[in-house]
Amino acid sequence: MPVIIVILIVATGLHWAVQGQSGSLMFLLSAAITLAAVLSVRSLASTKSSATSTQNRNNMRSISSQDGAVDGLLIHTHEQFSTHFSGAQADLGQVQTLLTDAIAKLLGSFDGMHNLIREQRDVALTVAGHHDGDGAQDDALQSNLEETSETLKALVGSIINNSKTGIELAEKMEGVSQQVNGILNVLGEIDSISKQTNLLSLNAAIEAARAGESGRGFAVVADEVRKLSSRAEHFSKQIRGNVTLVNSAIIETEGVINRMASLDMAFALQSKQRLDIVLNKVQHVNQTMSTVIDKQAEISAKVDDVVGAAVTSLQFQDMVNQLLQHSVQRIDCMHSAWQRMGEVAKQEQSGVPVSQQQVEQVTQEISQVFERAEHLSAKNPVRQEHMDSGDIELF
Amino acid sequence: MAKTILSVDDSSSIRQMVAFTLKSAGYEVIEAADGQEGLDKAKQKTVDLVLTDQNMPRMDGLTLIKTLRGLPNYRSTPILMLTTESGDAMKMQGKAAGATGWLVKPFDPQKLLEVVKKVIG
Repeated sequence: MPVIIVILIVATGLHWAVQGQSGSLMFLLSAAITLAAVLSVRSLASTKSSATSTQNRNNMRSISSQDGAVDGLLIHTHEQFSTHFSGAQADLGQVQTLLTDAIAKLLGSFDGMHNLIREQRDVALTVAGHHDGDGAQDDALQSNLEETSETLKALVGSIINNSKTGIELAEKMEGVSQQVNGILNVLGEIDSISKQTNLLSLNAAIEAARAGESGRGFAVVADEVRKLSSRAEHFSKQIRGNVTLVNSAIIETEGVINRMASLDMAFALQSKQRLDIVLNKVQHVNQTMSTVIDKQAEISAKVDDVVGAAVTSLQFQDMVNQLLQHSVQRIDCMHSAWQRMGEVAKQEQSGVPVSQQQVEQVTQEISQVFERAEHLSAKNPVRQEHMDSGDIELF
Repeated sequence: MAKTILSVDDSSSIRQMVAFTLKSAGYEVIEAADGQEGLDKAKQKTVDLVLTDQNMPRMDGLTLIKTLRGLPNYRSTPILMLTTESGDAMKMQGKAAGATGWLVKPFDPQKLLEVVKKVIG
């Protein structure tokens, strides 16, 4: 009974066709192997089956159609096998579609994530002035900060110098004030001389009056001396008044200069302290920013590596796709062989005898199908067993 | 001006990955889904590098290389094979057909970039 041997062949073929597969393929495999096992017991009772395809063909020729029950079993299960063959092929097609869709979306996500990370890094670089990528802007910022610091320090130094000059000026003013006091003392002497002169002129006038007519001329002189004395006293008072005003002004000015110098000095010193603090803060911010940017660049590079590794791994889809296509083609071969056998079995079942020539033809066709399957097996383009990146060879 | 690379592969995801890798490095990438489409696009615009798969419908990679080498514009253009095929016999066929190099999938994006830069700068 040729059908038995053919089923055995199909079972064996299915076994290598679906190695590593699951689901409906495993169902097909287990069903075929079970059926083959049952039938092979009966087959062995009547024939000595061989492992080689040549022997199988010879056996097929020698087996008669006495096992109608086995043919019935084949015919009974033929439709189910066909359904599951088709179902398995459809499942594999669906897996391919799902994989393709999922990988495309995953890649899109990685692409988007990668671009966003780069954009984020570029924004950070722009904010920090690193956009030229060689740190020149960073150096320029540092240089500007140092220049600003030097300028402000020079300004504060100038204010301090002015303040010192003001203090010196106040000291000079104090000297002037002392000189003015000297003038006032001299004026005191003049007042004293004027008073004595006035007293002398008064005595002279008295003596002139006592001298009578002969002293008249002397009386005139004494009067003029008294007038000069009065005028001298008057001028002395005027000078004292003016010098006193000048002295007051000098003292007031000295006070103003002293206050101004003290204020300038205090302000300058406070400004210098604040400036140092601000510049330190700015430098700290700048250093922090540089650290953040460097870290950002480091993270970005790591993301590149991670995305690269993901891209390498995601190529499993291409390999799985090729393997699935390969499996679909091999299952298609099995399906064709199975259908051809079913046709012959149905013919036998319907009472129409199967001629020797017809058996040989079917055997030939099935042999060709298996040869095609063997050829496909040899042409499997995917030999990789891991997802490490492949070799590169430049000719 | 950005250099142009023609990526020929029947797997859309591989084309997507190749484009993702090369575009991020500043290259312009043209995609084709099989050898025939690759040939048509190579004729429309002369590219600086061709990166092709081997097993594709309509026209495979080796045929594409042989056909391109027959065109005046592609006699010295670098052509790299990017395929799951890793057998020495197939590589020898590629070399004989005029391939510049052979990259076995899966490819590492960084290594692919290094090779591309080495070949076309």
